Parts: sequence; structure tokens; C-alpha cells
Amino acid sequence: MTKEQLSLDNKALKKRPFKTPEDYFDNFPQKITQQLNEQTKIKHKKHIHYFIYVAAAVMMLLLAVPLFLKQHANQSTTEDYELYLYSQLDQNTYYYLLSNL
Amino acid sequence: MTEQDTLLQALHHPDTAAKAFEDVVRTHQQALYWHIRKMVYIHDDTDDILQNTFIKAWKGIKAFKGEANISTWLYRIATNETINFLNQKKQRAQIFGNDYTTELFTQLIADPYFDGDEAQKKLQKAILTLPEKQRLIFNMKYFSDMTYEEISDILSTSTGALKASYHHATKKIEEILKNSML
Repeated sequence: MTKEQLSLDNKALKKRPFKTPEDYFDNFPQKITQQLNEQTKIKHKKHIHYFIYVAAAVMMLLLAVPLFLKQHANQSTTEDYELYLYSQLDQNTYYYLLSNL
Repeated sequence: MTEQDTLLQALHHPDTAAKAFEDVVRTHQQALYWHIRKMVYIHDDTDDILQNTFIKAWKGIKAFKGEANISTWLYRIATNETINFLNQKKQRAQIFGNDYTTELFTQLIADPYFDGDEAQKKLQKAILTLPEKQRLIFNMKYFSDMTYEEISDILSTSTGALKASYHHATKKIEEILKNSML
């Protein structure tokens, strides 16, 4: 190998010693567009999943709150009724019932 | 309104963004590809880094207001991606007690997409002895014929420092090439 061949002034040395697969640059922009579309789809899917979770949580709340309120209301009615019954009893019957519980 | 302003307008509008970005990819893909390839050598690695570069650019396009030239901005992303890739490669090589530049050179020789002659192999081996940033500067100046101002914008380094770095790099490479003939 000569000194000239290995000189940085040698234009042949400046040539790029690399190749690319055939049509690489023709196909590359489409590859990027495809990837970006897939990422957008995934992002949308994530948003849909998030929406479903939120909707499910709201539905649970909508079902649970009336049930809780209804149960609470029933419980109050039963307690009120018991208190009413006790209020109607005379003192001796009340203590008799209490001692026989 | 400049050409870049028109392009940015298209990139920032939801109806035209995808098409405008495809044009950006088409325009800059080759320059960025070679910029990366000269650092990482292997086509498949270059392809991965180039894809990451454009995906990051797409994600960051709304925040890009045209403070720099779009080409400079893309070069910066590509350079960062390349440096990150090389750092990971270096760490992996260190775990196995290997020198990553030796690994890079071995991969280069084995790469079916490398078609350099003996002189070019020697040159690449010499370039690999340079520190990473100097290697970057050398490649941008020697192979891509970029001006110091362009390199300065991309690497955020003063032109004075770049000139000194390039000078040291060429001296070192010439010395290695000269010794390789003995």
C-alpha cells in the first residue's frame, strides 16, 4: 500500500465504504408512517381502556350508592319501629321482656 | 414567511402534520442515516437509531417552534440517540471485559453492507482510536464536508474548539496510518 493511498488527501479514502439494502431509502418513510400510525392506535386503545375503567367505576358508584341508601333507610325504619313498640310498653313488661332476652 | 415557517405551520396542523412529516423524513433521512452510520457502523443499528430519531422528532414537533433550523434540530436528536446507543454498547462490552471499539471494528469487517478496501479499513480502525466526540467531529468534517458553523450549531461547541479538535484528530490519524505502513 502506497503512502498516497493512505493519505487523508486521497479522494478515494473519503468515499463512503458503506452500502444499504436495496430500496432502503424508498421504503423508509413508509416504515416510519406505519410505526407512527401503530403508536397512535395504541394510544387510542389506551384512551378507550381508560374510558372503560372510568365508566365502570361510575356505574359501580351509581349502583352502590342507592343500595347503600336503601339499606340504611330500611335499617332506620326497623330501629324506629322497635323504639315505638318499646315506648308503648309499661315499665314492668319492659323489664320482664329484657330479663327474658 | 420563510420556507421553514410554512413547513412548521403544516407540521403543527392536525390535518397536514402526517403528510408534512413524511416529507421531512424523505428530505432528511439520507443525511441523518450516514451521520449515524459513520458512528455505529452496522446497518441494522443505524436503522434502529434512525427510526428512534424520527419518532422522537414527531413526538417533539409541537414543542419545536423553529428556534433552530429543522435540519440542525434533527441532527441534534440523531446525535443524542447515537451517543446513547454507543454508551449502552460500551457498558455491555465492559460487563464482559471487552473493548467496545474492538467490537465495533470486528462487526464492521463482518457487516455485509461494508464494502471498504484495505486502506479504508485502516482509516476506520484509526478513526476508532479517537475519543467519541472527536470521532463525531472528524466524520462530520472529513466525510460530510460540513462547515465548522454547521457542526457548531449541532454540537453546541465553539468553532475554535472544533477547529482544534479536528486538527488533533487528523494529526493522530495520519500518524497511525503512517505507522501502519511500517
